[in-house]
Amino acid sequence: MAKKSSICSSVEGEKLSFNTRQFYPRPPVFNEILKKRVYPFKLGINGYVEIETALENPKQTAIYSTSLTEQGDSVQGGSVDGWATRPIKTPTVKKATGTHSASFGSVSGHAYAHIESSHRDHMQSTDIQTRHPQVIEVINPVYSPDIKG
Amino acid sequence: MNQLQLITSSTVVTQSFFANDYNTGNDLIFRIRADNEFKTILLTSTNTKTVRDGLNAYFDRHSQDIGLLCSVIFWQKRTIDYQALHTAFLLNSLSEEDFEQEADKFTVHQKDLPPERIASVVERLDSLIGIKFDTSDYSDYFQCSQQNVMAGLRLLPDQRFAEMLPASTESE
Repeated sequence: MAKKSSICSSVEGEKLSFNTRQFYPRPPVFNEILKKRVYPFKLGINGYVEIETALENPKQTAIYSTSLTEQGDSVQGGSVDGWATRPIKTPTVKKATGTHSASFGSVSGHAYAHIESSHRDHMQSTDIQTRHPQVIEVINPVYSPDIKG
Repeated sequence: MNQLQLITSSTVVTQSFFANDYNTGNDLIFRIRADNEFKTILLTSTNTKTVRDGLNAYFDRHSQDIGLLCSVIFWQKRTIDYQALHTAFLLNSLSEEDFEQEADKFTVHQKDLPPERIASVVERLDSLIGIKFDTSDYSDYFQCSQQNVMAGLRLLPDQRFAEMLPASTESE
């Protein structure tokens, strides 16, 4: 399972699960490669996306050759954007860490998520640096000691 | 209203003024400044065309800025309208089928824009409103791909924009 957090790292799958503190749906876009409408979204204040169900035959069906496509592959960034060919359903708000709740949800159809700002933003937060001085690559859901249920 | 009163008897328009080719036969604007300390009036002239050109340039610049800010308002209005529609879907006020039908009205086909145009608009918007947008925000605003946005950002010298690009293209 690959985990990436650098800008432009991406995942593609049939179903992606995510958690974030800010979820934005965006107006649809016609995807010229898939020849169908996709529903873009953005995850702000850190977003984590993991492939729950991989695409069937990803080498043939994934749009970007650089996307991670295996089940369990994940990306995390200060800001993550993406799209799905199916309308995006309600995220559920749950306790994520000892101090914060987050929206948990999934996107499906052919779904894509891409890091647009990485930990650089994250690392610039003195608050997070204080609480997680060891932060390295993908930290979510490895906020480990803080995770509740 | 204060009435302008003559407070000096010295010559207001000098002969040397008319000797200057710049001033003769031209359309001029005069400015009168009263100096209370020295009890004098200073009369200066400027070519009307110079003033007019300056005002036109000022007007043009601000018209462009107003156009740009209006485009941001329209973009945000469209986003709000779409999010209201999506919220209705999330709250089960709309079926998935109905939502898809309504969402069709918001669907855009992305354009391919010249990176120079993207760079100039991003730079101007940043100086006008100073809000930090991500590449996907700009992609939504310009209705173009993120690759297109990044091609524009690469033309901007400011480090803040370079930081929005993948590591290989950062100027570090």
